[in-house]
Amino acid sequence: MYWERDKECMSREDLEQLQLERLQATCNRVAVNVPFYRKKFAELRFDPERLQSLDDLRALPFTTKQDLRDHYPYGLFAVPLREIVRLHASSGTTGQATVEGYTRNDIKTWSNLVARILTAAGVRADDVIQIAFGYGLFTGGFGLHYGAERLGASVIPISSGNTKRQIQIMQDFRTTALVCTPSYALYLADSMAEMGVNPNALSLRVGLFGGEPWSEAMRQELERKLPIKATDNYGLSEIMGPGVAGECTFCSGLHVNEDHFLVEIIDPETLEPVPDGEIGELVVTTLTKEGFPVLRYRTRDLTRIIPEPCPCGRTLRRISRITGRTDDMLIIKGVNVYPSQIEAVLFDIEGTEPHYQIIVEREGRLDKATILVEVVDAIFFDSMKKQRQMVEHIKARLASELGIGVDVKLVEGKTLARSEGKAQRIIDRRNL
Amino acid sequence: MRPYLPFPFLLCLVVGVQLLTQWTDTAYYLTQLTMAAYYALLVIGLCLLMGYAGQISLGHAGFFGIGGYISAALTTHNLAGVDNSLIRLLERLGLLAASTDMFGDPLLTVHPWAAAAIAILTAVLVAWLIGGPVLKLTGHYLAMATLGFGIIIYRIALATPFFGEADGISEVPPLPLLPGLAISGDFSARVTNYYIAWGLLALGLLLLVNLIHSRIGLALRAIHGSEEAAASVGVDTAKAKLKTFVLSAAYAAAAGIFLTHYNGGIGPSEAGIMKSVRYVAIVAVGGMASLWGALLMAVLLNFLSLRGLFGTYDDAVFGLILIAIMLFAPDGVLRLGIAARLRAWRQAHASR
Amino acid sequence: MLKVRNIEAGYGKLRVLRRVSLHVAEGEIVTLIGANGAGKTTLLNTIAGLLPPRGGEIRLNGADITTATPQKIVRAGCSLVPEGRQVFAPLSVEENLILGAHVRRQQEGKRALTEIEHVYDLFPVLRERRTQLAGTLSGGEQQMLAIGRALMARPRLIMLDEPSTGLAPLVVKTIFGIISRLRDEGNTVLLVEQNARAALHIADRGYVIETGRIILQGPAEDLLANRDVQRAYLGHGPANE
Repeated sequence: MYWERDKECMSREDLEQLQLERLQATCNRVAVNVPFYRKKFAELRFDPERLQSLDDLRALPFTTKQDLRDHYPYGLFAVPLREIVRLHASSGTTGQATVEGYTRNDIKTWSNLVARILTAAGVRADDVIQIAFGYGLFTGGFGLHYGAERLGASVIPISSGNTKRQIQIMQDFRTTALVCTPSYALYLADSMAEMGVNPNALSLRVGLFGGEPWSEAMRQELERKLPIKATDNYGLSEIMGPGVAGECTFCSGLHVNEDHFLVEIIDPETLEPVPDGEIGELVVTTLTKEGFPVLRYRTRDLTRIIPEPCPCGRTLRRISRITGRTDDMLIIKGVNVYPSQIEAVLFDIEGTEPHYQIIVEREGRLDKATILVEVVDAIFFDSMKKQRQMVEHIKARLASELGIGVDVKLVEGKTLARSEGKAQRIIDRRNL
Repeated sequence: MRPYLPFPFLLCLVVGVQLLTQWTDTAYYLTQLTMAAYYALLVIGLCLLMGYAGQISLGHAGFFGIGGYISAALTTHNLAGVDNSLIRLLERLGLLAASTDMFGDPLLTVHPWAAAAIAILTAVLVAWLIGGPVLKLTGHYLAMATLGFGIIIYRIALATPFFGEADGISEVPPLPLLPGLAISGDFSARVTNYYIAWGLLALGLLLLVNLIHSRIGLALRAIHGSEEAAASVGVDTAKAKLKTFVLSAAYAAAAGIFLTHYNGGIGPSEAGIMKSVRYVAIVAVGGMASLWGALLMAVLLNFLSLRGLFGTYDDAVFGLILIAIMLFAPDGVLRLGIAARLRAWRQAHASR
Repeated sequence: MLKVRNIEAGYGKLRVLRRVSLHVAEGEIVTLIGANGAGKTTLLNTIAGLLPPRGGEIRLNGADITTATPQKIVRAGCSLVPEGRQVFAPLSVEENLILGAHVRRQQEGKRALTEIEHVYDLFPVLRERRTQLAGTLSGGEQQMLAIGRALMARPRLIMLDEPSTGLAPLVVKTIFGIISRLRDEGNTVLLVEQNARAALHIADRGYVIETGRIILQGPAEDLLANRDVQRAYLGHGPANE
């Protein structure tokens, strides 16, 4: 039922004591070891000694994605590199990518927390778990892998792609638990139908789906199409990876591992905390990370705290599923994509401020992104062949930068809508 | 049972000495022995403070003085002719005694019991008040503070007309104890007074022996061993030290009262520094943590002093004793080596 | 069992402890490690009531003991084995132990002394030396006496201040074995130590304090694996790997 009962069901009082101790220790440490925070503290005239209660968290500075980018690659690490045993990163070239570092103890904690959410979702040591998340620099694959191994389940590190093989393995290896993005899970279900494979003949029992926002409707569809309990889980690599929060079998909100992460919900405009239950931006502070602690990281994800206690008995509070973003970031095919990345590539190629639009649709089950680019001299060629080559070139550059393939269509100049202030850059036609 | 063993011996000794003096017709020795007994009462109280609670006091003669002077003044000061509500109240409460002075005029004074009670209470109160802040000090500072206290009392006695200034107070009446029994310097009651004195001393000693072997006594010895460790086992060290201080002050005041009534008077020198030093020296010689040692030395040395053995060098002798003890036998003459060495040898053998 | 929050404490103008928070749950050994002068002894003395804190609060089983006197704290079930052992040298072993029950004797009388047999069972060498003066015992024996004395109060929480100081390695091993045994018997222990390695090996959780601030905390095995801790307190360096 619980992976760590004494921690998952501890009294709120004990939890708050633990959180305070860990917050104080983390602040004391970063004030000494991380120049970025030392400077920020000095600017705000903030002394870690002022931290007397969790409410004083408000006095701490925020950390944004841009801060992480500015200190690429190792600038925000709190320990020397030789103590880092794992490095993960987001996609993107210099100026866009962020790097995370983990010490041995961090890996241990990470595995443990993932084991916790796996157990909460109903996975056990005798499960066969198929991890169809991309292994690599992304934290999803390895995060779930180490957690599942810690749990004692039999792990199939199949990574993403090669759907036919995925289904074959699922049958042959008698997979009981599936881990991937929810859209890919639906895609698998459809592929099975095409291949004539009966999902009910599989050993599938439970699924952990995350990496992109998905709706209750999608959950119900998944549970109809596959004989599984579909649970949501949440994580972000800047904080740790998967394992930050996860649903229990009651599936009514994701339990946050509050003994390792302090969560706040703030109003993205005023930056003030909102009352419990109201929707706002999720801000996370790590309490136990050694290699790469972050204070008040603005995730830009919109959610709310569910203050009521959960019938499962866990005292760790829940957040609702992510309802949106406060910035432009898109999640396409499970990958975070920032319009600024696209803009940077186009600017590099064109030499002038590009005018473009991103259209995201769902084709069947999978995301499809099309970038409409207004033609300018630098990318205009009379010759059809050369024009096609340019389009391919842009596609290749974008694919390399974003980590996913996108379609590129050139459109006539000045055909894309311009408005006062921000242009309508993103058209998301997916109904999530 | 073991701590009470010496009492029968003491009894025998006391009786024996009295009979001896009777036999050798040296009854006048009894006077000095009686006085020595009262001084010893102060000394054993001081021994408790110094040896067991580990606090030094160079001002204990001050408490002696408070006890003696107040009882003396109240029992000699003539209230006859003074008419106010306080006097009438005291009269009604039966706290006053009427008699005639040597000239035959009416004399109205405070009854000796009331005077004694007031004297003891005053000493206790003063000890309580100064004890609090003073006992927070340690080592030299404590010694100096108590020295200062002693000097203050001495000076008050010397300067206050009510206390007779340099002449002190005389004509102090006897202190009645039981019908027919009183503390007085009357030569005819010399033997009686001898036994009274030793009886009171034995009582005081009994009380202290009981205390030392009780839970409180152990706590006191713990404080002496290591005050911080004592606090860590939950001993209220501040309260314990204060209570010991007050108790020893009470003993000193009682000694002052009894001796004053015995002598029929008191002078400022009784409250002086020299006396305080003398008492400390005696405790040191007798062995800081030995009540019996202190008793023995108190009686012996005071007797010799009162007999005039030390002549005019009386105070110097005690000063010398103090220096010598500190240099050569800080644990007291009785503890000098032999007993301790024997014990250590026995224990070393036991642990083999 | 013990919850310490935001404790500020010091001597005179000197601030030693700065916003120290920690907790000890029932039945575990928690160790506080750090360099000399980091504030470890100050923290124990503050919890034991020997030093008044200037800020923060301390709760023992829910009861506020922040400003309680040492007697009240002993009575509430928290006993301290002080730094340097501090046995009552001029008293015998047995008298030392009896003093440990000083507070209990006030309420329970003679019954409080029955605990002494249990202590003698735990430390047979003390039984042998029961009449010996505490000042004549060896260092290790004095440490056992100090622990035994603390146990006489039948505490729920035992705090030990650097029990390994001045003891030979073999004796340290024995003492730590005893501390482990205390935990196995259901006691709760807060152990302050400079010998971080020995402490972390028997502890469940640990805190690292540096110049009056807690900078690290976690399960003992994590602290043992932490490179900073290894370098600073365990004597590990690149050369030792």
